[in-house]
Amino acid sequence: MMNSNQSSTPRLPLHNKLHLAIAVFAFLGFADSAYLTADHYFALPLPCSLLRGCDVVLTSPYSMVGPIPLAALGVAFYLLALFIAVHAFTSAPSRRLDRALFGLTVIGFGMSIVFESMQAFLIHAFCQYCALSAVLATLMFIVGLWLIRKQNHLTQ
Amino acid sequence: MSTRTQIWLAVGFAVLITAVTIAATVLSKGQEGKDILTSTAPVLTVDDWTQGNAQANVTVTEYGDFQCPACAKYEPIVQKLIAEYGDRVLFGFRDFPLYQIHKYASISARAAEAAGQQGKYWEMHDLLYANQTKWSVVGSETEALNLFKTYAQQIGIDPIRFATDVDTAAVHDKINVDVRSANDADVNSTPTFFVNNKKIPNPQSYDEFKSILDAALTPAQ
Repeated sequence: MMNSNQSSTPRLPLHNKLHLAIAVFAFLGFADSAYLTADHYFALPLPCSLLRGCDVVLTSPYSMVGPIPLAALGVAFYLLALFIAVHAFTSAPSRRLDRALFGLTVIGFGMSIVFESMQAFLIHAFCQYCALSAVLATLMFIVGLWLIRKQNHLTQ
Repeated sequence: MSTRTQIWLAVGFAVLITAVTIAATVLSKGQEGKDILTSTAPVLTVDDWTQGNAQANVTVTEYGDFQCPACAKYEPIVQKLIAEYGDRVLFGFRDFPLYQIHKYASISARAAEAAGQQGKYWEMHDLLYANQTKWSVVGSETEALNLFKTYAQQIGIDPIRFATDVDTAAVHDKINVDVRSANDADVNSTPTFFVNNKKIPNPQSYDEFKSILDAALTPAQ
């Protein structure tokens, strides 16, 4: 039987696993938002099977901030989160980077609550792609919370 | 190459691949639509809203958006064609709401479908086009729906059921089916017409449209 101590694959420290998790969620969020942005400008096929109302949500006046579609802001948000998470993953542990990453996940989570509430109470329709983005932002926030708690625990 | 560099390259590559995949989807959509006369639409079925001779060998399918001014301009031409060719041609209308540019494209398409649930699709279709300039300028979707409720009363359907039906899954699904068929048929503007399921360049006059139908009705030699 193989002794686990003989394993050649080094185990990742927990904080690195958390950075990696945020990076993966951010990447998925980027793909989701990028597709929605392309749909906005090029009217791509947008199957809407799980929840009804994608069309209503994505064309409502609330889907834009001035001339910019919210989906495009989502692309910028997820790319920034991906960049910081990968930077944190590949760098020496940094309290500043973890705090920046956590701050970003708080913003994402807060905005997701706002957007989902708007869909529920103002638009009265839901969009599954927006829901996916909200789930990813929530997961990023939970992992970010874990990351910052660990950071605080280590510095106490 | 350091591990750090490899990770950054992998992430950059993944982002690039995603962007390229989405760009390819956009480009392939545009490419398919280039040859206008080779695009075909699914044949009209009992699930479509149709007028005219259901047994006709010639069909005209219009993809339209109730808030599209060009569609409203074509409406009298289409009405005249239906009056003249209704005994020999089957005319169908499918929804292609241009959500991105028309604020009430969705609610107006749903209003017509909801009226259809009470057997008055064409009546609502005609009223929506006839009053397009009125409801297109209201301040909110709720105001537009309130106007549509008055149209529902005018055509003699239950306005309460109508207001509920505009948001049913059946209505949304019907529009989504139409939009999907429009995407498959390379429809990217409204109105877009298909004669015998083949896309035609939009005729510039009633006479031009008439000659296309006459040609379609003439048996091949």
